[in-house]
Amino acid sequence: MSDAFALFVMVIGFLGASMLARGLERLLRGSEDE
Amino acid sequence: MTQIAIYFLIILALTKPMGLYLTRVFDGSMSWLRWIETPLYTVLGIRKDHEQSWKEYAGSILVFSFFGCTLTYVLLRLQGSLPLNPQGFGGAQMPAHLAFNTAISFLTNTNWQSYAPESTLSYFSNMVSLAIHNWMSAAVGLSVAVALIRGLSRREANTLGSFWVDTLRGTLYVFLPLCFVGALVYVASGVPQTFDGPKAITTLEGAKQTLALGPVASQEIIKQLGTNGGGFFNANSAHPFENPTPWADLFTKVLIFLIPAGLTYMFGKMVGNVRQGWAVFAAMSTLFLVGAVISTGAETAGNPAFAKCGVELTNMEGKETRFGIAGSTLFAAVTTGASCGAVNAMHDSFTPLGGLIPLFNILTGEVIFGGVGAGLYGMLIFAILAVFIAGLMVGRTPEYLGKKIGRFEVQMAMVSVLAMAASILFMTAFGSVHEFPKEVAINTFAGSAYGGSDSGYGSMAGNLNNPGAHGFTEMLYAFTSATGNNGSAFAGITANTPIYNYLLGIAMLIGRFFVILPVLAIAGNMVRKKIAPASSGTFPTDSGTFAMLLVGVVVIVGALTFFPALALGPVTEHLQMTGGK
Repeated sequence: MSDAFALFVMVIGFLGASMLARGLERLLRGSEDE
Repeated sequence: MTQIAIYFLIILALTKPMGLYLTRVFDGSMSWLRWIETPLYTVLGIRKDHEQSWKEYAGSILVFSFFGCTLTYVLLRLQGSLPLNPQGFGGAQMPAHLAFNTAISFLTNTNWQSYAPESTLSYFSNMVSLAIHNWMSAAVGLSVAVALIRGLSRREANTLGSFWVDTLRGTLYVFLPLCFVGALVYVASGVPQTFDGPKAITTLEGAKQTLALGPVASQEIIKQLGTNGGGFFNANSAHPFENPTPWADLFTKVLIFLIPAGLTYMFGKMVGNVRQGWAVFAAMSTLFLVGAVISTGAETAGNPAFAKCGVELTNMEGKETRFGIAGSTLFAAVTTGASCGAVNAMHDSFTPLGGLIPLFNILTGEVIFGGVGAGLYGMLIFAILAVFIAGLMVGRTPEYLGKKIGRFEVQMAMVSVLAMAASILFMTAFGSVHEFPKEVAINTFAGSAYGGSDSGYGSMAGNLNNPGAHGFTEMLYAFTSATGNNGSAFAGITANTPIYNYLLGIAMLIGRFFVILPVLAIAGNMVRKKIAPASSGTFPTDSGTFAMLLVGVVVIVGALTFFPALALGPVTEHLQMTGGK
């Protein structure tokens, strides 16, 4: 259970980082459109 | 002060040769290890000529980091079933929350250690599970800095190079040879390198003592050169087996700044104007020297309460007598300026102002030479902000290295600055006041603030060894160190509990990726821009004026953001001390 929780938090952390990268890319595209 | 001057002159002398070497490594002209490099591309399936966009570069880092982190977690949890374990350590010494914290800590180049290594980690865990990251996290930082420089120096391009090629070349040409030679220097100075287990000895007083040994030298060299900082022993570089002599101490300090200083020269070379690199070097040096001098002065002055008793005492508490005041404060300024985190003295025992400097160095975002690569790309973010602010003040179009600074670059710079501040301040506030179930929040060891409490709940402050302003500084330092990916501990805090390990781990991830990703996004946007020739309307960024502006921006952003927190901690404590309380 404790291992599952630790790995779950780890996965969420990296998913968050991946979502941040996508958000930045969208922001970049938005600034190009202006 | 002589020690500080001699140390700085050594770094100054090594900056250009190191920078020239690094330039040749990353422009591809360095080839003396081609006989290893070429087969490695084939074995690892790396397409040497395939360049990546910023998204591909960032994606490669995330994938590489995720698998590295997961692998380390599994290896740490299974250390009891793996070889090179003469002490018989297993999963009991490395519970899930600690393995989570440790895997992320080493992945992010933080090397925060919530545990005592000599009573927790097998040799295999040290040499494989963690050492992989000592090498790779530094190489990743180096690669990101190189990618940003390419973004600034290339004109109307789309790619930043290849993450895999940059990381491989950084590891092979920079870390491998320097570590090989440096480890031998450490062995020659008395650092152990053995697979033998601990030795039981009888001391001169007749007491029995167990001396922890192990493959220390090979760990020590990459720990310092890669600005990692995680020690083989709990006492870190205060331990005589990690840092045996004053010469080894000087060698260690030089290793920590060697690559970050060289990178400033490489930056200048790669953008075609070495004065640009020296301007960044000057800004970093100014911040470093002022901090080192203040810290040394504060420790030399000691506590004025002693003077009132007729005793003139410098503050030697928590310091090794063989290093003295200057050897300790200089080390503290170096290790927190760079995001190393190794310590040869306990920062918790410094005077309030002496301890404020290491804390402030980390709060600047680790840009005072900083971590390998991380210091340069962090400072270049501040350079973009400085150019933008200067442009606003004098009405000039903000440009850096001939490229226009637009809204997107400033947004990205602010994302990284604000994410750092939010992580540090929010987590410190949350940890200071929020009540958690005792079993996840605090250590109930005898002597801790909550050791004898019947309450089922407690705040994380229960793990602090000091009350009041000093205790607050201990917690602020912990989250600052984690978010800044420094890893040094203020000491005086027992962090090996589930809530500390998880929160500090998350802070480290924020500190790593909320900087790397915006940096790569800036690089990806800048690489496509034209380079305009300098005109009379261009603000020169290769001058002393710009270096001082850069210093001002770093200090003002750091001071304004964190002044309230610093006022609650070291500033209050200093006023209490001078008031005799």
